[in-house]
Amino acid sequence: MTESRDQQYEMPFGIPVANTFAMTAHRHMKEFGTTSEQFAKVAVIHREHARRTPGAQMTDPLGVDDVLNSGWVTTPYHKLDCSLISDGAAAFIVTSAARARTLGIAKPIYILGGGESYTHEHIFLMPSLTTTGAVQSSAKAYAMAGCGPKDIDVAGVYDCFTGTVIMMLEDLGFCPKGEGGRFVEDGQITYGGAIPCNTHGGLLSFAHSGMPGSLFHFYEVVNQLRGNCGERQVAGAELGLVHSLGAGFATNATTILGTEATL
Amino acid sequence: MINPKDAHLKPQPTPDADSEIYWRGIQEGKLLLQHCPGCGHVQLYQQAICRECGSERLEHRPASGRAKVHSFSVVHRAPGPAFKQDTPYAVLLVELEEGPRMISAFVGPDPSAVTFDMAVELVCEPVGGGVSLPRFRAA
Repeated sequence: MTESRDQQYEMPFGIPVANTFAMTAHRHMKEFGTTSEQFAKVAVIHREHARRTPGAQMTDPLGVDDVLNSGWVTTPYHKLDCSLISDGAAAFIVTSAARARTLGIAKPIYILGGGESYTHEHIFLMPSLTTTGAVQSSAKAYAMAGCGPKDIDVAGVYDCFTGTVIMMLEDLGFCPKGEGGRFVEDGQITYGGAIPCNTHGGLLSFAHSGMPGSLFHFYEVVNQLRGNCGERQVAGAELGLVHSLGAGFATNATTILGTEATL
Repeated sequence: MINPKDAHLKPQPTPDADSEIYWRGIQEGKLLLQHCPGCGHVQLYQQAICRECGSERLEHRPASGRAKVHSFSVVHRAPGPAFKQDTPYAVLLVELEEGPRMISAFVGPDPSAVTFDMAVELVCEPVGGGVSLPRFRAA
């Protein structure tokens, strides 16, 4: 693992990792009027999702006020705007379509597109605090898969902090720039909304066990596409998207997955 | 990574061949930016080549010290025991008059006084061991 905070230019000022993400969220509030209540709503929706997921770490009911009253970590983030610290592991197996057929895999899920983007090393070198390399990584993935954000049925979006989700919804094209807060407030990232996200509860309420963090998003989206999600199943899910990021938005990677019917 | 036995010590910059001049400048109260005479690019991050055009002919020039707050976050939960007694304190992402942004800390009694686009000015503060840090106070 690398350290995203620079030893000479950042660490001496007492900057926690959460602070780098907090500064992007804070700037998003300034530029677009995003509110603490909208950030909190992200946590609330993730908790509702986790309550339906066997093995989720956090399953107590949660309201917007609970998030706002959970104490500051680093402004504008409260404790419950931050993801968990968990033990856990996840894995998936990648093989060729032909080999999957030979093995008799019942519901193989296909990788339809992928894209990566690397925009900076440290937060003070980030070109824009509120528009990230997810714009480029998702554009590449959509082009390769031959689809667009409106076609996606279910998504796994890296949710290290609540504001991260709001920024990613915009950069992945699920809503216009600056409207992520209202999009969440309107219930668009849960069942019945435009794009159900992190139906397992994400890093905010299911688990964040370090490196496997994003693998849980893959695991959930693959299960959604296979129709294995029981009471948290997104009806008719055929096309899924997983977005991972790291190092204060320095690295972004988007993957588009689909069932056999999407080929 | 911080070694657990050093967790109570604040991390200090360790100058390298690229940044030696920069940190000596800070000690003398000057924030030295790298200017590229070829393309006009100005950079804070000290390195052998211009990040824009790749030129190796970079010149150090002192910054005016004037900046504005591009973003900030007031830390209530410190990143380790070394910073615990300082909370709450404001970490700043300032935009220097010359263009580059940098991470710094706010100098002043009340971190809640920090606002977006607030004018701030450089203050190079000794932190012991012959090291100074470039911090900013309200201008």
